Amino acid sequence: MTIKAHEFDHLVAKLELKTRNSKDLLAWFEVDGKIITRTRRSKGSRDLPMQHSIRQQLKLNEQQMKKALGCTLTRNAYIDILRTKGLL
Amino acid sequence: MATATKIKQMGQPPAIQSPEAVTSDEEFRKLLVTPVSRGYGKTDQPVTVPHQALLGFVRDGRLRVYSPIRVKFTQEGQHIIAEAVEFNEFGFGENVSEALTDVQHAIVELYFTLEKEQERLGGDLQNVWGKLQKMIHVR
Repeated sequence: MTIKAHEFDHLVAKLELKTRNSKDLLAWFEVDGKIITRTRRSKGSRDLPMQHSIRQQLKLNEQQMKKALGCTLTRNAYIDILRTKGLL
Repeated sequence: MATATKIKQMGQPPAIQSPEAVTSDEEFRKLLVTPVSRGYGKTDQPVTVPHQALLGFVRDGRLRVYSPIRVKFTQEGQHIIAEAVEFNEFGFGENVSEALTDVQHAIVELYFTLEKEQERLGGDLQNVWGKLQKMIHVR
């Protein structure tokens, strides 16, 4: 399943991921100065075939990823998810 | 003096010996590079994708792979996904070669990012950094 570049960017903005431009767009999620999860997207590709991979890197299940892409997953809700999974 | 001898004298672990590992560009090219092309040159031939490969280099002169990196391939529509399982890192492309190159690049990026940020890593990323350090060394 693909993820569009703009969907990825919305997700990054919604969850307030930090980003850095390299050959790819690197994005990581910080809580209290700690880097908890990270992902990336290629530049120049409108449709990225790695939705599943990005979801895995962000430690989300399919339902949670749908919410994230639909912009209904807030940063606080994401923190709760990570805490539930023992990552925080 | 042979390179292997020099490395031994420097106290570094021996280079990978796995016969299945891809350790050079030449071996890399032997992997299936069947195009999944679109438009001109489109092929209707079925695309054969290997299930996995053991990667012995990451296409970056600064890093040396000491333990083969397992890369699994899957096909998603017109794309091939290459997954470095141990590191939870991915790459993709229109063929196996492109996907491998992309995941190699991603691994290098991951290595230097985690090295730079190692004091700030959460538990999961600390694990990934630990695995990276065991399998890949700076030359």
